[in-house]
Formats: sequence, C-alpha cells, structure tokens
Amino acid sequence: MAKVLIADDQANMRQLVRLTLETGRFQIFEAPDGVAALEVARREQPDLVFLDWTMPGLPGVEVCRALRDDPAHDRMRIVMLTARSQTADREAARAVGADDYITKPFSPIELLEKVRDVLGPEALL
Amino acid sequence: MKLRSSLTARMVAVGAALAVVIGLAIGAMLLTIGDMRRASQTARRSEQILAASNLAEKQLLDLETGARGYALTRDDRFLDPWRSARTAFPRQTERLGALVAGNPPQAALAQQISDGIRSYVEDYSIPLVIAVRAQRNPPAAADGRRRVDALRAQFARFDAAEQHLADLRRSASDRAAARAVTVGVVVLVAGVALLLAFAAYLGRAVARPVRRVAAAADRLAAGDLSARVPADGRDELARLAASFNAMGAALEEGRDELDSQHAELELQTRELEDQQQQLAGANDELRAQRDELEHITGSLADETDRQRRFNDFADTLATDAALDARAQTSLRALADAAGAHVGALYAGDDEGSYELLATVGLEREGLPARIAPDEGLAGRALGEREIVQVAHEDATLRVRAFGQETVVRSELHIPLPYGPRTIGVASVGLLEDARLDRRAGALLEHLAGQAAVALFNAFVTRRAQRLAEINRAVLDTVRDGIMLTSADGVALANAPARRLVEEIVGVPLEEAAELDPTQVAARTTDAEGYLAANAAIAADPDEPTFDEVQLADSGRVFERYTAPVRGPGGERLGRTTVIHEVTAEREAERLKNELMATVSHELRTPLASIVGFTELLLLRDPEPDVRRSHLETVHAEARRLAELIDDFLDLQQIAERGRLPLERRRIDLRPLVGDQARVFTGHSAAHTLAVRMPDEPLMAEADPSRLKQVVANLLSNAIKYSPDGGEIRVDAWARDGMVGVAVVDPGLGIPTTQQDRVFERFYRAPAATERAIGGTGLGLALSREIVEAHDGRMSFESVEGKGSRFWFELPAARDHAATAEAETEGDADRDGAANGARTGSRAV
Repeated sequence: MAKVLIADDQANMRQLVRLTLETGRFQIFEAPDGVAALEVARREQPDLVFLDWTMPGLPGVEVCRALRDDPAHDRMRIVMLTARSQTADREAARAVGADDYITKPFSPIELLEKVRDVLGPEALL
Repeated sequence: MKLRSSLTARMVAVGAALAVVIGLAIGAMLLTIGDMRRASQTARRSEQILAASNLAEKQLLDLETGARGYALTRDDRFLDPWRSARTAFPRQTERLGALVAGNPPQAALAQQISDGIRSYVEDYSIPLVIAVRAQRNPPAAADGRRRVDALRAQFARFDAAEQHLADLRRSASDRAAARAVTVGVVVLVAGVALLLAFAAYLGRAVARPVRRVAAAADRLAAGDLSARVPADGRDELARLAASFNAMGAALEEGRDELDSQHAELELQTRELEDQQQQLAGANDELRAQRDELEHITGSLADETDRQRRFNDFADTLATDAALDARAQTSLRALADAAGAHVGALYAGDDEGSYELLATVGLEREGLPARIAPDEGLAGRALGEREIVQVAHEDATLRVRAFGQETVVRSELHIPLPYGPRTIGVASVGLLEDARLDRRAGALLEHLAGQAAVALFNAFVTRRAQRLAEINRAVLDTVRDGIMLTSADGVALANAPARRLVEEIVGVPLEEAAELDPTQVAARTTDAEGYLAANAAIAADPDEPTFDEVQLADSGRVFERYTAPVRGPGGERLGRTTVIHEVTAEREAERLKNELMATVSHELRTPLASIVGFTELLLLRDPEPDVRRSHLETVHAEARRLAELIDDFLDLQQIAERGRLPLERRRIDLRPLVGDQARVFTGHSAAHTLAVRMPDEPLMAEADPSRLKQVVANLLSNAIKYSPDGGEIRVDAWARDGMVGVAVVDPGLGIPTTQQDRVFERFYRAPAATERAIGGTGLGLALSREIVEAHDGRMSFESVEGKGSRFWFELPAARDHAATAEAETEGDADRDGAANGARTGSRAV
C-alpha cells in the first residue's frame, strides 16, 4: 500500500486530497505546516508527498529542498500542489527537486492522473 | 750789392771787432794771473825748505843733548831722542838736499851741513856713547860742543840765505797780483764802452726806419692807399720801404679796377630783371594748366570716394549680421550720402507692415513703431519704388536742434528695393534745402540696393534663428533626452539629454565621448547587454536600435532609442538618440506583476476548494451528510472569495474616488469585536484569543461591515504573523472622547526599517514572503483607509521578534442627552435631524 503525505495549512485542501485518494489503496498522512511535513516525511518515508507552497513555518519548496538533500529520500516522489501559478514558480520548484507541479484549483481527476503518472498505473489498481 | 753796404755785413764786422778787443784783454789778464800763480808757488817752496832745515837742526840738537845727557847720567832714557835723531837724520838731510837742488849755492851748503853732521855723529857722538857705555873716558865735551856750534852756524847761514830768497819771491808774487788786477779793470771798462756804442748804432740804423714803415701800414689799413715811406739808403729797410710803397700802389690800382667792374655788373642785373618778368608771364600760363589738371584729379577722387563708400558700406554690412545693426549701418550710410542730419529706417519681412528698425538723430518714441505701405510720404516711396523728395512745406520729420524742435528743411524717402519687393524705406531729413542731382540720386539708389539685400538676408537669418529657438524650446520641454551625434561629437542636445546623460555616465555630456564604454557599462546592471547594444549601433549605422539600460546603484531604468538622421539630400547627418526614463513605469509594472501574482494566488486558494469539492460531489454523489459538509465548505470558500474580490474592488474604488463611501450607524463596538474574535478562534488551534472589553457600551457612528473588515484584518494578521502560536489579546476602550480597539500578538514583529511602509498598498513584509504567509498586501492599507474615513486614526507599535500591537480609535458617538441638546439648539440641521431619527428608531 503506497504511503501518501498531504502537507497544506488549509484543512479544506487536506480534506479534498484525502477524499480524492480514499480508494483503500493509499495510506494517507497529513501535515498542517512545513515543519510537521518534514517530520512526518522523514518518519514515514512516504512514496508520494503533496506539498503546498505557502505554509506557516517552512514553505513547501524548502521542505522539498530539505528532503532532496538527503539521498535516503531519492525514491520519494514530490509533487507541488500550490496556488502559485507563475512560470518562475514552476522553475523554482523543479530546481529544488520537485517531480511535478499541480496548480490550484485542480480537479480530483487531474490529481489522480498525476498520481498515476508519478507512481505508475499499478498504484491506482 | 756790395758787402759794405749790407746791414748784416756791418753787424758782423762790428761784432767781430768787439770780440777781438775783449779776447785780447782777457788774454793779457790770463798771462798776469799766471805770473802771480808762479810767484806764490816759489814763495811756498822757500817756506818748505826753511821747515826742513829747522827739522834737521832740531835733530842735530837731539843728537847733541842726548849724547851729552847720557854721558852725564848714564841714563838710557837720554838715548831715545838720540837714537831716533840718528836714524831720521840721513833721510832729512837728503830731503833738504833735494829741495834746494835747483839752487847750487844752497845745495852746496846743504851738502856741507850733511857732511858735518855725519862726521859729528860718526866721529864724536857715537864714540861718546860707546865710551860711556864702556865706561871709558869719553871724548872731550868741548870738542862736541864746538862741532855742534859750527854746524848750527852753518844752519843759520843756510836759513838766512833761504829767507832772503823767500822774501824776493814773495815781493815778485805781490807785484804780479797787482798787475793782474789792473789789467782786469782796464779790460772790463773797455768792453762795456764798446757794447754801449754798438747798441746806439743799432737804434739809429734799424728801429727808426721800421717804425716809419709800421706807421705807413697803419694808414694803409685805415684806407689811405696813397700812404708812402721815404726809401733812402740801399739796405734791407730801404727795400722794405720800397716793397711797401709798391704794395700801396698795387692796392690803389686794384680798387680802381673793382669800381669799373661794379658798374658793369649793375648793367647786367637790369638786363636779368627784364628777363624775369618775361618768365613770370609764362608761369601764369603753367599755373592755369595745373589748375585744370587738379580739377580733373578731383573728379577722379570723387569717383574713388564713391567706390570706397560702396566698399566700406558693404564691409560694414558684412561684419554684423544682426538685423538691427544692419538697419543702423544702412540708415547711417544713406543719411551720410544724402548729407542728411536725421533719419529713420522702416523695413518688413512681409509687404504688409514695416517696423521701425533704426534712427539717426531722432527719438524712437516720437516715431510710429510701424507703417503701412500706403501711409504718408514714406508709404508713397514704398509704393512707387522711387525716391520721394519734399521741400519744407511738406516735410514731416521733426528734429530737436539747438534746444528747440524744428521741422527739417527737406526730406528724402528712399525705398529699399529687393527684386520685385520693396523691403523697406529710409526717410532722411536735411536741415537745409537740398536738390538731389542725378549723380547723388544714383549713389543713393545704389546704396539703397545694397542695404535692401543686406536687410533681406538679416530677415532670413532672424527667421531661421527664431525657428531654431522655437525648435530648441520645444525640444527642451520634452521630458525625454533627445540629441544628435555626428562624427564630430554632439551636434545637438536638449536640456533633458544633458541631464540624463550626465546622470547615466557620470560626467557632463561634452566629456562623455572621451569615456571608455566599459566604464559606462560597469555602471549598469547588464554590462554585456550595454556593450552589445553599442556594438550593434556601430555595426549597422543605418538601422534604428532600441535597448534598455538600468543603473546598478540607483536602479533607474532608461530606454534608449537611436536612429540615423539624414539630410534633405539623403546624406547622413548623424544619429539621433532618445533617452526615456522608465524607472517609474518599471516599478509600477513590477508592483502590478507582484499584485497579479498575489491576487492570482489568493483567488486560486478558495477556488481550489470550490472546484475540488463540487467535482467530488459530482463524481461520487456521496451520502447526504457528507454532501452537506462539502457544500458548506464550498459555500464558505465562495464567501471568502467574494470578500477578497470586495477588498480589491474597495481599494480600486478608493484609488479612483479618493474616499470610501460609508453607511454609518450608531453602533456599539463590543459585539462586533466579540463576533470576530469567535470566528478566528476556530481558525487556528495553535492560538488562543483573550478578549477584554469594558462593561459600558463603546458607541461610535460607524459602518459596521467596514469595521468588521478592519477587526478581522487585524486578527488575521495577528495569527498569520505569529506562526509559533500563542495568545492573541484583544482590548477595547473608551477614553477622551474616543473609542478604541487594539490587537496584540506575540509574533514576528516588524523590523524598524520597514515600519513606515506597513500601511503602503501592496506592501508585504519580508517575513511574509520568506515564510510564504498568504495575503494581498491590501489588508492594512484598506483598514487604515476605512478608519480614516471614519475620522479616526490607526497605528501600531512593534518590536522585531517580540510581536506587534495594532490599534485604531474612532470618535465616540455623543450620548442621547447631548444629541437631544444639539437638536434643540441646531433646529434645521439636516444631518442632525437624520442622526436623531436613526438614534430614535434604534432607541425604539
């Protein structure tokens, strides 16, 4: 069962992602800010991490950078899930090692497609 | 001539005779003196002989007394004189013999004495001494005495003879001396007598005739040419007299000759005077011819003067291209040529109007500033293009002369024709009557033609200058820097170009060309881009270019547009560069982009919930309670989205209208603040809210929805900027006629350097961007606008790392009693009435 971490300061968002992925195939963890996200990620070693950018404490890109600094997290897939939509933001995320980027607002189907692209089709089966 | 008769010969003869007489006398005197000298020498010899004889006698006595004394005493001392006498005696007798050698009787006597002495010595004296020494019996003393007495008698005879001889010699000497004296006296007397006789003769024979000749010469010198000297005798003086007489005669003859020559000369002089008179007549003729020539030369000089005048005029006109200077020069030249004292010149660039450009001897104020082509005499000259000449009765020019105003005697109005146009007119006035002859007229017309050309050119120049000034003024009013550069440097630059170039490159425009481009590039944020743009301009000078330069230190941004400039013939004049500062535009753009990014983010966040949950609803069709929960979320987020949009719109409204419209009511702030505190308590688990409010109501005239916005904004910020959680405190109060609310957080605080920007629109604290704290940067700006729209004020205190206290105060609403009072006093106050009505309704 794949582990998924959802880090977002807005409870609504965490809930939306969780509901979308609640298919019984994912073990889901949540974090309300960057520091908590880093802590959970290191502890649980999730297969996939959804990172909001604008979070109290530590922004999503910094969480991503911190995770990528440790080779132990090389297999971890990281997808930014943010309302920041500028091209420069996408490039900054790629630069710190994010695997993909989803701009808010998004549709649940789009989210699932990203999960499939990142983890492979078998993850959803 | 015989020697006897010559004066010189006579003089020589007399002199010779005199010399012979004196010579003989002196000869006789010398002979006498010689005798006298010989006599005295002989006398001295006798004395010497006597002296020698006495010495010899004394030696004999010494011999005798010495020997006798020795014999008596046997004392050796008596032998000393004896011995010396015995030694000296032979020599003495010998000397005596030599002295008397010339006198045989005396010599014989001297020999006898000598022999007698020798015999006495040898025969008596020496044996006596020997005998005494040997103590034998001496020879008899009587024998000795006898011998000595005999010798002494001989000495006496000798001396007497010698004395006698001496007396003879002395008397002979005395006689010779007396003779010499006598001869000397005779010679002296004779010589003196002869000299006197000679002098007397000289006086008679020479001095008298010479004096006569001198007297005659004096007379001759006085003019008496007939003076003559008696010429008797045949000596030199007679010849002198004869010569003198001959000279007098010759002089007399010369004078007569001169008298006759003088008469001849007078005659010749009269003839010459006649000839001179004839020459004078010829001179008059010549003078007349010369006058004729001078007249012709004068005419030529006039012509030369005219030419010079033209040339000078042309030169002066050329030296100053200014219109006024040329007008003044022209007028002065025309007035001079016309002999005028005063004048004025009018000229115009178009034919409708002519302006006063120059005056001579006239006040400008007294003259019309402009004239029209058909006005007055000057106008007539303009129209007819002919010189108009008027006499006294028609003259109009007035001139102040000799302290009073007089009208000129005559006037000339000279048109200034240029091609088909008349460019102006020079009006000049003369103080005397003047008739213009043909030649003077031609001169004036010629000068007028020159003046017209010069003035036309000056008008053209002035027009060009004015146009250039207008162009420059227009260019200077443009805010962009505009300049034209050519190979020679900066050909043209407006004022902003000078300023901007100096600000960009750091040195004045004139020195900018000297700068190394890399130096300028180093001042920009993109040195390579700047150099590349320069290279592009150099590479293709026919293409326009456009680039942007940002200064590294000030951050100012400039657009640079350059393009080639071509002249009418297509030739390249240079390159124009336009510098346009876009710092403000770029800053606004940057702010706008940031705002857009922020707005986009802030709108997308609630939209994400709305879109996501609605899609879930559509996809999964969940249970009713789940569906309801989803719909509530969607609803709340939609509301939030709406509020956000309202914020933007509010601020937009303030930006456009300057003030926010309010719907003010009399409200108590306490429930409003309490409600908002409750809303935010649910938002964050990490934060607690402590609300402290007074018991009595905090009444204000306010728009509740706007105040709710303000309180919500402060609470939201307090939570957002306290990321570590903690207690958020809310206070409210009424004090000094104001009601206030403060929200205190234990959060990040605001750095001192950033504090004055907190209320700026779109400003986001650095912490907000670093920590990705959401927000529009509009909240506080809008809140303060709202508070100030209520006539209140809003401010804050903050310490970085400790937290912040944001607060606002509004004027407290007056209580019922005060309101009632205000109503009774201000009866027809519409606002007051409305307030009262609202208060009343609320009270009900």
